[in-house]
Amino acid sequence: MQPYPAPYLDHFRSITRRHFLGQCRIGVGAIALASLMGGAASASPPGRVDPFAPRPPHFPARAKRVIWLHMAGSPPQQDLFDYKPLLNKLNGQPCPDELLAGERFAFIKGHPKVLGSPYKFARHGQSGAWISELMPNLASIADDLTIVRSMRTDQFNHAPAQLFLYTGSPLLGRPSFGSWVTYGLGTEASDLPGFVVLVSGNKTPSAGKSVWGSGFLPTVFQGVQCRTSGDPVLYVTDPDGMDRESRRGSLDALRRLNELEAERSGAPETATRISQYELAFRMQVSVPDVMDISRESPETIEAYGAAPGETRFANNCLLARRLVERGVRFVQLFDWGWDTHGTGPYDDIITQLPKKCGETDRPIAALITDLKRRGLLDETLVVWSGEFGRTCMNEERNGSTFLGRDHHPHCFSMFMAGGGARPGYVHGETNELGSRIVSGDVHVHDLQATILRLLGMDHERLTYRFQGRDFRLTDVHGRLVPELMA
Amino acid sequence: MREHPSMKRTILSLVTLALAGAPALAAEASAEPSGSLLANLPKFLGRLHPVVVHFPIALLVAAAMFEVFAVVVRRQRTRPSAAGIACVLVGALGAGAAAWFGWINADLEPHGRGVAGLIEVHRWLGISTVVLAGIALVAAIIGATGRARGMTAVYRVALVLAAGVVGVAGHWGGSIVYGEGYITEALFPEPAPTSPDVTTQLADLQSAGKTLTVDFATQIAPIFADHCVKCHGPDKKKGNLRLDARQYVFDDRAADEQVIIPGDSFNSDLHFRISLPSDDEDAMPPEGKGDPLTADQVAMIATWIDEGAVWSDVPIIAPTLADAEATKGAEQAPPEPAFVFDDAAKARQESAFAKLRERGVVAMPVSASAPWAEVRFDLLGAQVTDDDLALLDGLEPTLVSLNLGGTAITDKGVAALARFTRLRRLHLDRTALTDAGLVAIERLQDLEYLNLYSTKVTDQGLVAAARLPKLEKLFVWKTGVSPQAAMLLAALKPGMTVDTGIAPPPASFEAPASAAAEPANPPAPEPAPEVSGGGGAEVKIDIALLPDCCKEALAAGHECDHPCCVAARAAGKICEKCSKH
Repeated sequence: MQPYPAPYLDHFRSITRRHFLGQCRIGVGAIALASLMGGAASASPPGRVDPFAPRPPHFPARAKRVIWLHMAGSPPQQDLFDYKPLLNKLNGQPCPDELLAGERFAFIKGHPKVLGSPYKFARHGQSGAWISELMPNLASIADDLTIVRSMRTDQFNHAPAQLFLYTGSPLLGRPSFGSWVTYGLGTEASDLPGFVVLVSGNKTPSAGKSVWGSGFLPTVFQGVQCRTSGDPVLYVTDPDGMDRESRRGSLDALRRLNELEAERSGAPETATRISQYELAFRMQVSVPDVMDISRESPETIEAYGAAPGETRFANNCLLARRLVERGVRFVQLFDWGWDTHGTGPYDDIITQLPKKCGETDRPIAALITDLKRRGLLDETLVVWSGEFGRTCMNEERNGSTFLGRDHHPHCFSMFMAGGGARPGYVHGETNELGSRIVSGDVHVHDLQATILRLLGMDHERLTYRFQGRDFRLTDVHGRLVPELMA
Repeated sequence: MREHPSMKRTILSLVTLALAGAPALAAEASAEPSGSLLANLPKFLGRLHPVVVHFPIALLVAAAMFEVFAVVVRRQRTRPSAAGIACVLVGALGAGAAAWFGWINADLEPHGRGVAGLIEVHRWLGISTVVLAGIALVAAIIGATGRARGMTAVYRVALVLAAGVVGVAGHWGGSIVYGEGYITEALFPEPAPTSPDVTTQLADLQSAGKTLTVDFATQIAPIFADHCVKCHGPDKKKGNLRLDARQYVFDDRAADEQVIIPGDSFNSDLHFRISLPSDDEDAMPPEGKGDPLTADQVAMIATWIDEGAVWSDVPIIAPTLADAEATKGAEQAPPEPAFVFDDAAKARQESAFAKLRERGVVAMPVSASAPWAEVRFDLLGAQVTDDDLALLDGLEPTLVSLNLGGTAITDKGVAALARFTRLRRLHLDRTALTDAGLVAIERLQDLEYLNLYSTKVTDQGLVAAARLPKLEKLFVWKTGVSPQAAMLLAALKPGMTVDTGIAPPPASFEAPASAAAEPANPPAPEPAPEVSGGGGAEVKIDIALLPDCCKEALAAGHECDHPCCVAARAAGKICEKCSKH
């Protein structure tokens, strides 16, 4: 019996000693060189036994875990956190030329008109932060928030901007924020993934699953998407006719085979595979339990505005709290529907924006309050953001009569709460038109560096060697913003 | 000319070899731990750098002077002067050796991150010197044969450049060792530091109800004087940092360059650096540049920073050699017994960690370099009982954070926690804890965070919490604590927040009836068109008539997200565009 089909063997037979010496001189030289140069490199990775084992950070951490609420499509900052009365004065007039010089827009054509905000603003809390009437519940906890009105990105389309925010690069292939964090810190939960993703709004983000991919990091660090209806994790339940005993037996057999393989080849991905199978087995019990929000008290479900059994943002907020309580390191929520261009009632700032705010304002405020009274907010960083800002001009695509705003990379607003972020603080300012940053500039890489620092990590030291150089989340950029840290 | 290229090639290859060999040697040295003479050779060669550099500096400058003399006084234009050639020959070889040794030295010797930029500039200036001196040497030899007159000019230009560059390189090298501005400072001394506002600082602290346990003048200033100011003082200013007066430490530094953040030792770079193990690249004082601080001294500085880093105006001067001799006898006095995180303590901690991990408990240091430990039992939930707390044995001096949330521990177990006197954060939430158990907590004088939510604690138990001097955050949601008592405690202790978990009822944005048509503040220019009842109106659509995209979406449990279909749905219609396909 030949274990391999003949063509393979023919191929191997054709590679003779003469062929090797004749054709591969450069190759042999390269191998010799590599062994000369790479002595230190090959000695360094000790081959972690458990990639999920919790690891201490560079510095004592202010935040142990992150819940990142992403409003995919990007909310208009002028209607929520960046109060610009001048826009209302200039409403309907052609915008100043300076806003068009050298600009590229995703959709705006010709000379657009200024668009004021139809919503009332008021100052809230001790900090006196301006928040619009669309977010009444967040306004009531303004003193827990760190609002940044001077965020800035390099990208003005959804997919690259989302990749930029979460991987530090607008191109595909880099590890996402949650992957970097679990790579750096491991996870405290032994029966749940360290990085969980929850999606609402009927659509995954424009950049696809790459925004929670592990890039070139070991694949154990990629985000695990959990669904709120049906099976929480696809294929995690046993198929019909497979009971838990047989599953355990087959996993034990597989494990022995994998261990033999690991001993023979020493390939790190084999260790990854063993730990993935074991985690999946434990998740068969832990995931249905943690994902079942009907176990919460009616009072809590009411506070979030959640509805067990449905797919909605409020449920995901409640789930996020349940996950971090069980030691999950990074929970990433995506909610689609914020791309308010104004081409119809389904994406304008009169109908769609209040609808989205109504869906999210109460659950987010409930999440922060709930974390706070359980004493979890202290070490849990909640982040709310879109991927970029929106224009202060009405888009009027193809003469649309609905009100909406186009993409705008030069400034946008986001906020954080807990986890060592400075509470009751509003950072940065934009000009009167809300088109450019005047003070307190925070670039996406700066935000990444600052959040990593809150997690106890030096963004310049959290690196992974790939294709001959050390990569990091902030690429070669990033500056700490000490004002944002408590 | 024919016999010369071989010499040129030899010199070039010598230079290349030296440059290529240095990093390889350095890498080899760092891979091998210690021991054999051969392994230590690179470090030795590196330390020869300051010795060897004097040759190129003196000789290249001397050669340049000989050439100027030859041209100006002796009018000798066509050939290099003999003295010049002799100096260049030795100078160029010295430059090559110095650059090679310097490269090794930069890689092997510890140096602060602050001088990395200086080293980079110095390195390339040094290499430029080697290249220029090499060119000068080759041109001089060719010029001396008299066969190519132009070569003498090349030689002189390269030589003058080499003499200039070696001077600049030498200056940067001096800046690495002595700090920037070492020379100019002698001429233009910095103005005396303005006197600090200690009284206002103290008054602020007093009004906040805080008292100082560490005195700067008698306890902290001597540490700075003995261990820091020699390099971070008027003489050297390494890393552009001076620690000999308040103004240099705080006022003269940018917001993101502060090394001491009053009230926050965890985030103060100074505290971070002095608490690193002495072999760490960033540790202060650097290895071999002074005695590392003792754990007590580090702890005292941490306390001083946490208490607001009050800096009174006392002279901080590094001891001279004579001082050191005089105090040598005094230093022999036995130090007061205190916790020192030595190898034995480390081993005890590691063995405790191992036992805890065996049990499935998360246990680790709070950061890669700190001795402080944190332990999480909460993820195991009710499996954890009072007996498991014995696993914490050995962590008494280092445990700063302990989470027992949701475990089955009782008052008895909590009483046994009194020995962990360095605890800063303690979770006892969702346990059977009562007021009786809280009495033991009073011993934990460093406690900053105490989570008691969902326990049987009552107003009575708050008395214990009120006695904790550093407590900042207290959680009593779902306990027997009355809102009145919580408010009273918060009023008594201004630095403390007491969270009773009472949240305001949810609000909602009520769009004015006219908002959709006519935004009020001020009106948007174009009234938005009517929308059919904000999606609330029930519109009956026959599913069978839907286009395939909408059917598939419904089968998958959501509505079709094609913009055209969404628009059609909002208008109570079926998308015509998709139906046609």
